[in-house]
Amino acid sequence: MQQPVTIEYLVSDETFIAFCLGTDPDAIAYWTQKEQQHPQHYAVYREARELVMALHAYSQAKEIEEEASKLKALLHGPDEAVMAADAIPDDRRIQWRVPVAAAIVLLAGIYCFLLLRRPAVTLIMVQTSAGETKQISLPDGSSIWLNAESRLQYPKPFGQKREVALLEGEAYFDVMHDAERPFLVTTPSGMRVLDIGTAFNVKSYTALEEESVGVVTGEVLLSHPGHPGKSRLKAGEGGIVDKRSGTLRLAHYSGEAAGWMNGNIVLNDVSFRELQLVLRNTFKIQLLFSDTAMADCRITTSFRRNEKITDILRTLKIVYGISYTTRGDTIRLKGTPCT
Amino acid sequence: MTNLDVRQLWTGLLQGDESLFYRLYDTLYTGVLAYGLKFSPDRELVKDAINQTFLYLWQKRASLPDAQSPQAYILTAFKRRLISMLESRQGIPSSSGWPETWNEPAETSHEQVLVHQDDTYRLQETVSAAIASLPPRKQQLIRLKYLEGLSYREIAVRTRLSERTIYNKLHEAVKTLRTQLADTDTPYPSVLTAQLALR
Repeated sequence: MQQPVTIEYLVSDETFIAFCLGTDPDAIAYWTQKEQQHPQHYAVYREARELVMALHAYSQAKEIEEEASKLKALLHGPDEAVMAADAIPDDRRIQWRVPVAAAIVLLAGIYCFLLLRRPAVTLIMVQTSAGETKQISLPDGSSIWLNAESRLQYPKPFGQKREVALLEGEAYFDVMHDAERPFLVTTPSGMRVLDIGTAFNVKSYTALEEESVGVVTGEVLLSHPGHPGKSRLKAGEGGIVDKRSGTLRLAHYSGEAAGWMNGNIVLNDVSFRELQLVLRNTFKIQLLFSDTAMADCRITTSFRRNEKITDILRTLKIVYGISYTTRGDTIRLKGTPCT
Repeated sequence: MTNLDVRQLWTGLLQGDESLFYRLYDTLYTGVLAYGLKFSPDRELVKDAINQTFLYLWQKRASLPDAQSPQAYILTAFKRRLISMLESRQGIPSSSGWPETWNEPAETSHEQVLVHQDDTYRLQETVSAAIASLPPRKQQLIRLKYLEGLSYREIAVRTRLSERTIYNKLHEAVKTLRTQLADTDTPYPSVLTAQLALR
């Protein structure tokens, strides 16, 4: 008799856990095969895996939190008691290592006790896969929409500042204004977008050379380490940062471009490289260029998320005179759209 | 997290920015820990070595180099400290050379070691809130099982509970967790799917 496969059973099974954590090759081989043999149980396996990983990630975050508070305690202890020993010990140092260790443990204990009385801060990471968008409702009443293949991170609870780090991709922010607690969005290149009661869109894809912000309503203050001062952007205005040079230029921003939240994808004078990225993220389609120079040509077009890819390509064919060949999920473009 | 981010955090450390220093710590912790565990299975010792290394970095921040790869720099400093701690504990003088097992673990490159830390924070708030509401004893078992990856037998030795009890407790915990998640009114049905999918 085979035991019925339940999520609880899987999540507490020794070898299944080893499979999820990737610690035992035999377990990996066994469960990979099991999953393939029973595609009808895919959802069960998937949820069980996710739970194992959630349990792992939670414990991990907890451990880091504990260790970080110990480190904090070490940092702020009296200097002579906690001076880090040099990496290579000599005999003299070993002799007073025990009392030092005891002092460290004691201090760590006291500091941990003090720290634990404060509310714990958790970093929340939200991520989307290809073809997926998400809405995140923040406790302060603000909302974030996250576009496909994107990732952002924020602390919970927020501190003095409400700071959200866009790590990859594109997000639309509809912010509840609070003069006391400014809302700040940062990007990997160092762009800082400070809201003044606003809805705005921020984009930062690793695959693209530029990061951009566009204001839909209200105002933001935009700054970047490569650019002196702050720029005040109003509705309909945008800022584009060249990631390599750090230069910032201001541009017109059409609110339509933030239509992706409703499934309207509007590309306004963007590179074919960006089109390539958008098609991959939205439709999981790999766009290839027969001539690499094509990647830098500019394009303006729009389509809906539920539109057929062939219809989109037909439009491009008419407007830009390009031809295409399809093989599976790969589409090869040919032509000279720049001219 | 890309290399650029780690470099920015490193620069923050050089400039004495304590909050960026903790972010550097949070970012690299998992990778350094995994690396350390290849040298010694003693998790407490490895954790201690990590904190000692970072304490050292903080105290010496004025004289640290503007490293191209802070990860590599940190790992090297960490390795030296860990080995010296292992030595002093086992009373082996440094001139005797390392035992075989202390050799650089095979297939270890700094990049590789630190790559998977990216998944660490991919916690969904709903999941973590549900786990946080479990009793401490169950949370401890969860940690031993899902973080340290110990077998039921090893946990039994560590906690002096029977394997059956541990299994039952974890089974119960998972059940509670699933009930709680089902009760939570989240706008996204796939709340769990978000970031935790295996690569």
